[in-house]
Amino acid sequence: MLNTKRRKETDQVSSVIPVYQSLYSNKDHSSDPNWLRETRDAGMSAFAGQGFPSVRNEKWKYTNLASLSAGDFIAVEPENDAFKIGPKSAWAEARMVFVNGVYREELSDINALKGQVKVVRLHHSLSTMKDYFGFLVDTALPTVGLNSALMQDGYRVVVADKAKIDGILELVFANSGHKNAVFPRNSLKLGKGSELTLVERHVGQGSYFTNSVGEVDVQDGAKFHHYRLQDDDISAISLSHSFVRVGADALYDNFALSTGAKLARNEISCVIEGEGGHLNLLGAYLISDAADGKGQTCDTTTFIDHAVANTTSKEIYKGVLDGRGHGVFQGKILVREDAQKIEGNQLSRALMLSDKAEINTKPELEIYADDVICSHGATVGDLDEEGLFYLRSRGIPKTKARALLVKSFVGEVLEEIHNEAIREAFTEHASNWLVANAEG
Amino acid sequence: MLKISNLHAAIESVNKPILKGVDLEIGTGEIHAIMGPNGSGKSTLSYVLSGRDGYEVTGGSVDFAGQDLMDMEPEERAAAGLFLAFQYPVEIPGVQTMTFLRTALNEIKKARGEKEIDAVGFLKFVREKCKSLNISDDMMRRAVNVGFSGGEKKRNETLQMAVLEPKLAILDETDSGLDIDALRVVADGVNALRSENRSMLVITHYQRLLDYIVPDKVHVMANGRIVKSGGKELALELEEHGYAQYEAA
Ligand SMILES: Nc1ncnc2c1ncn2[C@@H]1O[C@H](COP(=O)(O)OP(=O)(O)OP(=O)(O)O)[C@@H](O)[C@H]1O
Ligand SMILES: [Mg+2]
Repeated sequence: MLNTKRRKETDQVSSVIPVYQSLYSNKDHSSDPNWLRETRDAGMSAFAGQGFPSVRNEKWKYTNLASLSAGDFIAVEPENDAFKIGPKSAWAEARMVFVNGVYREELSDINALKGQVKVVRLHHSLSTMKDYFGFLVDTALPTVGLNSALMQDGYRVVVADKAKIDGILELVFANSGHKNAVFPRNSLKLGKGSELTLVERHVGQGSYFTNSVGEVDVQDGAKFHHYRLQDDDISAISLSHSFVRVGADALYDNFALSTGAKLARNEISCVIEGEGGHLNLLGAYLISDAADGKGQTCDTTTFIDHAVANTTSKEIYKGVLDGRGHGVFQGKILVREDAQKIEGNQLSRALMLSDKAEINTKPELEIYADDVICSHGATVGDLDEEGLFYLRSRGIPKTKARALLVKSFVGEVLEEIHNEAIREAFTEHASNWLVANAEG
Repeated sequence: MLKISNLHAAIESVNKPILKGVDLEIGTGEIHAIMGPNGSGKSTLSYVLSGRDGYEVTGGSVDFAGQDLMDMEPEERAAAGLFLAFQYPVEIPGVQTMTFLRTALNEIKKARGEKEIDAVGFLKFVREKCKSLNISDDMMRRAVNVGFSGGEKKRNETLQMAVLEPKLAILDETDSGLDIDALRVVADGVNALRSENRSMLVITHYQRLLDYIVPDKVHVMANGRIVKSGGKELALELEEHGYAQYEAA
């Protein structure tokens, strides 16, 4: 019995590899420079060697990519343009729009930031990126390898030293179509002492698979506020892996709000390389049943490498799980041998609104220095019955009282969003989810 | 206003009878006090009246202004004019006291088909009540009861009562844990709400409170029943002789 099952999994893994291999070999890469072709080839080999990670892989223990391994997602309708993209968000100064992974100039508007910051589509600057492309990523990872092999577009943002950009840059990733696979690739560099606020919005319609990879270089003294709203279709699979380098006295401030996708994984791997570097990894996810009646999965996996002394990190994730929602939090903090005077605080809290919801939490501290303050906490709880009765005894109806308690639960982390306009926009998005989902 | 007849109630989880035939009638505009030893069922009675989960009503009935109270949801009871000042007020992190109070008032108004009050109008209305109860703006901005001292929590309960203007207010040991000055403030707040169409049920261990809030009637609760009723002089008698004679019964 067990053997049969194992063979079946192996079959699935091997069956999807040739599909992506032929997708890769059918693409024309003749215009790519040599170094890029080599990078793509290496990426494809990394993927072909193992396929999508299975639940036997320790890092993917709780998040099952079986439907990817079974080849459910390949580029079937890459030209599908069904998702309607509205106007630029009110808080945005400029925006770039990518549809099915490809930049769309007629939907974008980057003029307002011209001259202040370099904002281009990756496709156009690839040939000049020999020293940057892939310099932070772990190329051995199959999902990263697959992205390197098949990526064609994304954003490239370069902020000059000391440039402080006030206007918010909005990046929209809209996907649509049936079984499409898209591979956005993004690259960011904040020069010394610069500052930028950037918001990614992931939206779409249909059963697509998006596998994006980003590289973020926050140089000495720079501040980068990186916000991400993942509102993908609840039939979609949405994988994202960001690799971040933080320099001395620099700040990487990340907030991820996730409500979409059938299966989502937001993975962030950071190394703090300069003294005085600080990291905020914050987020909230609100999930319930997916389109197929099974639960949505939302996986947050983070890795923080305190490579030098006097660095700090703060990590807070809050999940609201209704229906058959399945949350995963894996957070690893590494403090290297000579990295003294480190402070790293990690907290994962989940609120279960249904007894069919499920959460897996795996905090991991690996500490080789002694002058270190590191904490991690994980709580899983139901709605507070005492509080609920108190509110109802004051005349607040049950549904509203529940919504108030849930809102205050996620509100605590939404409060941490540095930019006021984004804080309001994200709070509204979470409230809308509550109105639509958490009633009863 | 309130007529409790032979009320029996048990704690569901452990199937333990607590109220064993409570009879109590409070007329419109009257103030009644309940005294009685620890564990006699006073808080249980107030919870059962306000509709908290976890109790099974095994017998008897409660009529509140012509309605069968036991058939109603907690929020419906509040809309009908019932208010409980909790012995142990609950902390609600992340919900601002001001927002909480305005939501409660407007939900009650909505349920009664009255016009809701806007934020500015509410602020004016609540400021005055706060002033008389010695409640600072800062407290109103903080999360409901979070980090409030014992006395502040009790003052906050009194404020909620003043804002929601109930027909029947049950005060469960609102005087416990108050210093002399705070007791005065709370008692004044309660007295300000005294009116010929508002009734009150005051649960207390101390005759001192009844010097300030003078009751029409005093009842002794022991072992899940009202075992004796009398005028305000009964409180003095209890202060002197204790509950021994009632507990034996
Ligand atoms: N969840 C529970 N499980 C078991 N027994 C309970 C539970 N809750 C209350 N009781 C019991 O019910 C009885 C009545 O409690 P109640 O709180 O009503 O007393 P009280 O008269 O208000 O006392 P006090 O004067 O101390 O406030 C007590 O014996 C108490 O231990
Ligand atoms: Mg009590």
